[in-house]
Amino acid sequence: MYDALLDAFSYVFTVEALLWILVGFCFGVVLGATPGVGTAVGMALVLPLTVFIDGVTAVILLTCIYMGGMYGGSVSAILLNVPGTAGSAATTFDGYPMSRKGQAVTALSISATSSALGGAISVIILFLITPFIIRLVLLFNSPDLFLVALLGLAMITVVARGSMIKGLTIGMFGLLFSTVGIAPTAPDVRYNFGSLLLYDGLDIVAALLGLFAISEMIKLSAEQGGIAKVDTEVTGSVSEGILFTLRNPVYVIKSSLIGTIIGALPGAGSSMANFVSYSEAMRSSGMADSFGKGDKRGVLASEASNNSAVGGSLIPTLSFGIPGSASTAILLGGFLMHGLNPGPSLFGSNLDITFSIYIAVAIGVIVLIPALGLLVITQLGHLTKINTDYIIPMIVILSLTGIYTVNISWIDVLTVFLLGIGGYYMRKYDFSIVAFLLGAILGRMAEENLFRSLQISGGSYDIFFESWLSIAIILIMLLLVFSPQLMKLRGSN
Amino acid sequence: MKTPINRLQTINGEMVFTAILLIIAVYLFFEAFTFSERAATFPQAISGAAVVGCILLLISKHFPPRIRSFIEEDARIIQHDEEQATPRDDEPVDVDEPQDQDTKPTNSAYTVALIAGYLVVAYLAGFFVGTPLFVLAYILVFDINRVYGAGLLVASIAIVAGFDRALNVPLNEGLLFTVGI
Repeated sequence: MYDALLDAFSYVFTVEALLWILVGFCFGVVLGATPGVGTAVGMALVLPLTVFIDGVTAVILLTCIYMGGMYGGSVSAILLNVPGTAGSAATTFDGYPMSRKGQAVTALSISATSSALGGAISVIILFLITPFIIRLVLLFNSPDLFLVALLGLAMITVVARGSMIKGLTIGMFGLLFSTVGIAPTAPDVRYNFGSLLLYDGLDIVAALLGLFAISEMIKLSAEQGGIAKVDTEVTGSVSEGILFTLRNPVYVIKSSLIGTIIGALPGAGSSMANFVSYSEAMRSSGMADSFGKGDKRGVLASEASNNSAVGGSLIPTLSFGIPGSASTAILLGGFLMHGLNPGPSLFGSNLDITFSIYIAVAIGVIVLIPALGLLVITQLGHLTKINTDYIIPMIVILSLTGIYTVNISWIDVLTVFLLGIGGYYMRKYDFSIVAFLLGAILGRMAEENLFRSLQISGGSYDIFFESWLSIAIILIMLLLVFSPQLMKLRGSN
Repeated sequence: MKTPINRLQTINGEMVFTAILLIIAVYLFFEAFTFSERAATFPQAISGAAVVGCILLLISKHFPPRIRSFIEEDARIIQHDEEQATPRDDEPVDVDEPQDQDTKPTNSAYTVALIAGYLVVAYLAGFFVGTPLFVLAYILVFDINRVYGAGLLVASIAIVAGFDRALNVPLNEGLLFTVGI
């Protein structure tokens, strides 16, 4: 483990890696601060561009965009009352009223300081629990990994917007997406329509670009002009914001812990984390009436939690390859694109990659968020005024030319276009895009481990009930699938 | 009693979308029978489940209310997710004033048509020809300010040229002709 840590340090502390960390954070902040674009779209756009760089750097870059975006989302939340990311929604409650009182800079300083501290706490937790994760993931064999894939699919009930049946149905289509091409279990080519171009299957990066970038742009084009309609004067005090955050360590630590724990639950994500920690700050303050009217503790709690949730969300993503949100799904896409297998290997032979990601996040939250947030704070307001009409054609061009350059395949370009339209209607009719992606990403893992397990057992399905681990996963899965109905029944009684 | 016309009027966009999904699932289900047994099991099971799901969604209105609510109602344990960058309508985001958001659904159709045209031109003549034409069409359709439009045009050409130079990808080649650069 210590060798892996040393390898990670020597990898990250190179000029090239540090430069990509800086680029990732800056780009993430710009994306997060630009209402309507969002971190997921930006990460999807960057995916094909990472063919330039090696896999580990690409994954670090994507993680830094994710982290930077989470902080950047607070800028538009505070200045415009429009959260740049869903994880900053609770920041609007007190951040925007502070701006209206002429304390925008103070609010942005609180956001930068608490985001940095929250992120740092989550990284410390990641380092502390990694030895336990290593022991846990090494217990998993093929039958358990198949059940973990099923558990990931059961997460659809957690993440799917709209009805559970809708979520599960669209998740099945995600699984079907993964079945195109050569079967992992037999020398058969499936659903290739006689075309050689489909032998290797459909590209997950193309799916991500279509579902996030193109579908979002189609949706955005219906909205006239820019999203920013309010002009707020960026005034206030940087030092006041920093001092306020440092004088309230209990709120920072509590919100960071809430963020890390909720972030680690697949499907919960930063949006839930920031609402829960905001509510907790409101409850424990004893001055609930002041919240929603520009209470600094509201901004602090929300921002400390959403950045720590990013650290938490890396746990299921890296250890089992289960993406709990759109951003982590794209991060997984980055792993797959560069031939890196998320899952137990990242806590075994490839532990140095995992540590590299942790260190990159640590550098980002400890150095870059304060630097970007506090030094260029008065300039960040300009980002919120970018007219989305100008962004749309650029994102379309980047998506289509970008995906073409990855494999020089028109099938990929067509996939982006068709899933862009499909994704638009999925959003419109409440079919969860994340559920589709869960299926697309976990499909191959599920099929491979199912057949490997059946080969080991000679075709007997009893193998899935033989270990305590398998039974525990099955119980969690049943709980996940049926808990909404149980909760409803309990509520009606 | 409902006339056929009344019945047709109850069909909405969501039903049409679900019906398209059903057709795709049915096709994939039967297509899976052409694979060997080992390769067919997984897609057959999945497409079969997708068919059942689509049918349930399509006929849910005819079920008793209790079963209908199981199929149609939001069953999420957790009510906030990260799918949308912008807040949902039911999220209490606005503090003082609503964001006056004008929406024009026809613009989405124009965007899809423009992207489709872009792909056709790029396929036939390469991205070097397709990209500036797409931006020009976009500027005209969405009435973009000329100065910003010129900037977009330059930026779009820079993106394609950047990819071409950096990755040595044949972005100048189309099915019909190649643009020399």
